[in-house]
Amino acid sequence: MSLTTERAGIDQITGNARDAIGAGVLPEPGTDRNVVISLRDLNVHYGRFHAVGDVNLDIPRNRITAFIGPSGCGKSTVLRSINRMNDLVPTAKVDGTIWYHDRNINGRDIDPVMVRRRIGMVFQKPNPFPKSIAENILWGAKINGFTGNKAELVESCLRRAALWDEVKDKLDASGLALSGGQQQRLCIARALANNPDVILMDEPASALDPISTLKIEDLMRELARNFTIVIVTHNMQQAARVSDQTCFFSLNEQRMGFMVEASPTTELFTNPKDRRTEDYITGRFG
Amino acid sequence: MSAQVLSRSAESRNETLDAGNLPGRQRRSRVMTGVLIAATGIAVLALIALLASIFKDALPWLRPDLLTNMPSRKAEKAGLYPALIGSLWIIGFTALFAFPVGIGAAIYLEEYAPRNRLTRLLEVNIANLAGVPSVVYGLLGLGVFVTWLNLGRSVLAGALTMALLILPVVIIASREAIRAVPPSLREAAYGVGATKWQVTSSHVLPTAMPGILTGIILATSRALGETAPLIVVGAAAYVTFLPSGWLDKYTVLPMQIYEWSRRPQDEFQGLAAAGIVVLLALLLALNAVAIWLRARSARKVRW
Amino acid sequence: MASNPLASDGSSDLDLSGQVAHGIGERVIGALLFACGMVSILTTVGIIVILAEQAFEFFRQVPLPSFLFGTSWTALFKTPAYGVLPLVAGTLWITLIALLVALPLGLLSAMYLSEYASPRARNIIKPSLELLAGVPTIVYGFFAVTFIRPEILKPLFPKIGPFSALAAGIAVGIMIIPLVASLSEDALRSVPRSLREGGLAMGATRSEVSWQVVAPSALSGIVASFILAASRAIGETMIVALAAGSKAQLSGNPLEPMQTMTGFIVQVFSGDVVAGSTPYLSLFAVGLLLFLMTLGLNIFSQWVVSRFREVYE
Repeated sequence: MSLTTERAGIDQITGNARDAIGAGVLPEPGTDRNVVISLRDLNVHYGRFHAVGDVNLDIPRNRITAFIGPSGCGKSTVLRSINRMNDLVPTAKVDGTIWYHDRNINGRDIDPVMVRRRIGMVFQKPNPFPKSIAENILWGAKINGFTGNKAELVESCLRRAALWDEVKDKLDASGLALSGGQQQRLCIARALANNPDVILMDEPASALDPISTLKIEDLMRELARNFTIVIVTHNMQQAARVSDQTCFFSLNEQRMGFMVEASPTTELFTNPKDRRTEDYITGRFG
Repeated sequence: MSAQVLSRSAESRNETLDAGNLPGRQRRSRVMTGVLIAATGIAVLALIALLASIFKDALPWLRPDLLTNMPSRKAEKAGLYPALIGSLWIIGFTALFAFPVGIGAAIYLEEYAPRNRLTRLLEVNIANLAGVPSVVYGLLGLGVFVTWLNLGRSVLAGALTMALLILPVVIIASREAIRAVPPSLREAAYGVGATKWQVTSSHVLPTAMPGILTGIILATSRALGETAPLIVVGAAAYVTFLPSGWLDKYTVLPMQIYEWSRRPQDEFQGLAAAGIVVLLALLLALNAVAIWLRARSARKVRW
Repeated sequence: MASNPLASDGSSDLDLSGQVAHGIGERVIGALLFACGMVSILTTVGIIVILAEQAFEFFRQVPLPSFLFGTSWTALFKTPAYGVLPLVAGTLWITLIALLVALPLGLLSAMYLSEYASPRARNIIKPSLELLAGVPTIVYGFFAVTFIRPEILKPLFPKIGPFSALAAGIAVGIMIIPLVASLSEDALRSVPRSLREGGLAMGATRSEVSWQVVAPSALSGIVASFILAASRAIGETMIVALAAGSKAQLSGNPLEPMQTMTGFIVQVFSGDVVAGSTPYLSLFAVGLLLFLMTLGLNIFSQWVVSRFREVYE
């Protein structure tokens, strides 16, 4: 599989978003309907440790954006800032603005719970609730005031997560009884039940075997037709295979993470703008 | 110079497996093993002696009407019915007061509390309360419940005192159970947009509940065996009626045992031993429930 | 696909503040849980206020120095004297005897369980010791009176009376063995395996590794368990009430009866005492002293743990 033929998705991005990706100057947040999330001057501290510095990034609608980089470079930290999961870490402090369309969701007046309903998340290790498959999907919808047809919701979420055929006869079985790959797809289905706008995935396939990984990747491409997806991965091939935009993160001498560059995926892997990006990807690709 | 040192040490190096001082050290090691086993044996033996001597004393006095008779000046007629019922009243109300507050405090500390000096103070305070002698809780109950709130020598005053006494244990056990809930479960729930209380009530508490229950049953068994604070807040020594409300007078099993064992006659010593057997049986039953709960939950949830 | 309830509309005109939906309920629950936590602070405040208030009354009738340094305690006699030293001495005697019993047996058992016992032996012995810890203290008191004194001490010391510090102290010691064993074992087991392997690889015998590598590494936990055991022995009530007698005296002979601080408190309530009288108030002065002694030891043990703990990764 060659990189250039594999993903030509970036060419389909139109308008300002096309210019935004990889451009030196980012547009004013909230002005472009094709940009869903805009990070401006994002800085994260854990206590006195400066974990991530000055990230500026636009995330385009209905595309897959991948974060890559060495471990400890802050890519998961940035991802978890986007739906305010860092609020759960007592020492974490997130500065800067995170624009969800035209709203700064990093403001004090914003309830993180509401943010997470619009911006769902899938975690590194599959973490289904110790409940039945159906309840796994319904719980999030229920607490968010879902009153529609439950069976329909379960089926459509499971279908979208490409899990329906495997579990349709055992919806009352425990979510923990599934295989690892199935559990992760259940977690994706669970995230879909809230009808989110954006889905964040934190190394969603790192705990899975190669076949399950491929299934998850196919699923991501499928979901990108309707959802905006941001994925953290330690696997460069995976970023190359699935993403439209790739952001390379690195860390400086103080172990502070920062973003080196964000480019359309094909560009970043064939013709990186930054020397450090090139060193990193060639080091791995040999 | 250094070459010289090296060569000399090479010459003197012992290349056979000569035992050197090892046999002596091994002998000492074996003696030590014996000492350790003996010490552990003595500790276990103490337990066996304790149980055996009490059963021996109790055997002639273990009769069914012990459980159903009122206390009496005549040993052969005396029973511990009011004490048994009183104990059930006391631990029932103790549980009623201590569990919600204890679990609530545990949830607060594990899920809600910010990391600040007040929280730190709370934690240190709970740890220290766990080490306060039980008789001091008795004095607290005497001052606050019996005198200040004017509850007198009632079931309510006794149970409230006991509730404060076991509260630190309940909090500590519940915190441990809550902490054992994997963070990934919380993240999953937060990730679908749940509020803190939704996460806690729907996922954390149900998962932690078997552990919490195990811990609080053990705390209850502590309340069942406590005597000193109840002597201070006025459990009566000689009661020939049953409490019918929470403002009534009462006595409890350990109190009755204390009362009997202080009498000089041998018969009452035997009765006290029989009372202890009843008390230990109750405790054992409570512990069995706790163990059963733990085993059942270990089977049910796999991570 | 279009009819799918999940179709993303990408709308952003949602209320993200969430205040209306959750603010009040969530805050009420948070406040309730906080209140539950504060009950424990109130308990401490209550203990201090009650003890201090009544003790203050007492010290208006009996000067503090004559309480602290007086050598005669006859609170319930016709001519009362309120010198607390006999009670403190009785407490310390019984604590000392208990520690002499519990520290060696507890530590050696812990060492055996942690370093030597097979899993099977551990699975039998550990629950047995836990069982010992769950036995109510009144049972130990009864054991002291009906077994330790007549069956063990009487043959050794024919002159021993019905009540003695020795019998009570031994029973208290047996009672706190599980505490020492369990806490020390936790400390020993938390020493990383690699340290033991390091020692064994240098040709050390098992006991050399146990006592010269593992035990020093776990020292803070072991010492903390000793201090907590002392605190528990000082506060123990029912055993001494049954077995130590009710004669408050300064004596150097543990075969004689002695009264402890806790023993005095129980003795007063086992009879009739008039609320507000000087003997009644003296209870709180004794209680305050007892509270301060055990609190001091507890804080000391926590300090030992936090100050000297080795942190292994």
